[in-house]
Amino acid sequence: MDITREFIKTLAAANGLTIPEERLEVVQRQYESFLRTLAEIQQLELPRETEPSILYTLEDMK
Amino acid sequence: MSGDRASSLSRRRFFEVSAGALTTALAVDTGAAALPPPSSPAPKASGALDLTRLTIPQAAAQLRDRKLSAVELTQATLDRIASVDPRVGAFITIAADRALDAARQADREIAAGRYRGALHGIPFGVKDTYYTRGIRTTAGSPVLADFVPDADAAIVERMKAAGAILVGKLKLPEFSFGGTTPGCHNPWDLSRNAGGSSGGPAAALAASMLMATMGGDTSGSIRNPASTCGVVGLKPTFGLVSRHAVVPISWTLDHLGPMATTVEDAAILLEAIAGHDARDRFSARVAVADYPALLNRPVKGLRLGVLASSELEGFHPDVRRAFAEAVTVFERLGAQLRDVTFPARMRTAGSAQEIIRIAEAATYHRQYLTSAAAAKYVSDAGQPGTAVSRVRTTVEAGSLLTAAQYLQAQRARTLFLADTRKVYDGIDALLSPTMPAPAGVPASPRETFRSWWNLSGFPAASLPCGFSTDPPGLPIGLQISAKPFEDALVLAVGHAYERATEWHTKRPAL
Repeated sequence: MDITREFIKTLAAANGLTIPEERLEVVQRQYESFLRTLAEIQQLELPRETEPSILYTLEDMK
Repeated sequence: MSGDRASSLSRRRFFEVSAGALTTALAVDTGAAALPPPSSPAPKASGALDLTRLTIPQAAAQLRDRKLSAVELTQATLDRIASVDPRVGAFITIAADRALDAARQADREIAAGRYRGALHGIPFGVKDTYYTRGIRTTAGSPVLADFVPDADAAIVERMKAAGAILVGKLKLPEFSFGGTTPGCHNPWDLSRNAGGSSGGPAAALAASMLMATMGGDTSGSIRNPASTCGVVGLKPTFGLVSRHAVVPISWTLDHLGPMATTVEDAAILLEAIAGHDARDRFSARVAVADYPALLNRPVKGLRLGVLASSELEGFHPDVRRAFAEAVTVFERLGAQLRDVTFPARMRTAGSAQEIIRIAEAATYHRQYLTSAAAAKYVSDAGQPGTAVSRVRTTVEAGSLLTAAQYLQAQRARTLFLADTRKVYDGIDALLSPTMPAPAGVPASPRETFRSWWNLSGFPAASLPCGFSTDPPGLPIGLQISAKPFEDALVLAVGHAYERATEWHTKRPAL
């Protein structure tokens, strides 16, 4: 899938953000970098029931 | 740097700072400061105390016995800052009048027999993300240039309750984004950077401007500058120290902790700031240990993991040498050493950490991105180089990540936590280099081994373990980590190392 400036502009608008025209290119590059990072995570074989560690506690790991 | 009265940091000033840092980055090979001979921190040749070189227990003993007043110590601190900081650039704001008022109050209390303990009358500084009542808190950004909180951060509250004297606010890259601190020079070689993001707190210690500072660590931001500037920095266990009223990067990765010139000082500071705080929803309900009293736990017989040499691919030869020498010290102390390698799948930790950090940061920054404040970020448009702020770009792009992508990274974190726990099952603590290379020296490690401890929340400290030879005279740091809430053990291992070596006694000539 091609990530274009127009795509970034639309995605930002859907999220309630207005990214100035002159900033679209640099934001696009950064977003593409994040997608590459995400691809590495997606390759990880997670056990099916793995829950996210959002509100984890370490107290039981002492 | 400014006085008590909050003055606006203009965007122009931020450009100047960034430009200065960029100049520094381009001038990294201009040579290093000569290594001073070993020295103990306290007396001058004349026999008079050098107030800028005291450890906390040394200063505390003088204050308690009223051989030294808090006003004298605070004034000496302010004088040292005035003399040195124009070259180092560690401070954003100096609260001289308030500090001297607080010092006078401390002297009155001590004279009246109401001595509060080891931090009573001790000057300290905090990274400029910590809210400070009546003193501006900029987070290093023009976005918050005029923000003056009406309350203190929990850590500042606790330090003041212990009688410590807040002297000033310390430099960081914009909103703590980055491993260098624009405009903050490394006291060991002023042509190099102090590291980051807690660069100001580290540089102020290394330059003998303060004996106690507080930093923040989301991806290694206490340990990086501690190593780079040759001081001690502790990232406590996640939840041990309250983050209430501190400008965040990432709610599930941010840690706050003490920085000092000795492990004992760090232990004293941790004891003062640790403990449950209901205002921080991640704050743990655990008993606070008597960290200074636990420092003398013997290392003999401890099972110390040693990061295997196969994991150090791309690390600078001087770092590998200093690390190997540090390991031999623990061998002599009687520790049981065993090599540690990590399962291959743990290498996705950096990716998960990045996505979590950026998604959470973007959520926090939305309030600025959707207002006129968006135009106040330091611009990165068309400016290359690592010293240029990329905060706005990062959080704008981070705002485009989906909830599902964020949660997938948090699922990867669950796996990483389980793997981390297994690694520590067979050891009491783990030794590793803090930074892959000395300040400003390029390195391409396969893994840097710092942000992993933010993702796991396990405690980790950095302390000095040597100096580079090529280029010469730059500090190298040793990282010690352990299981959750074994912060006392991390400090005890570090203290044993300090007692067996003298790296922590060395200070740069300024």
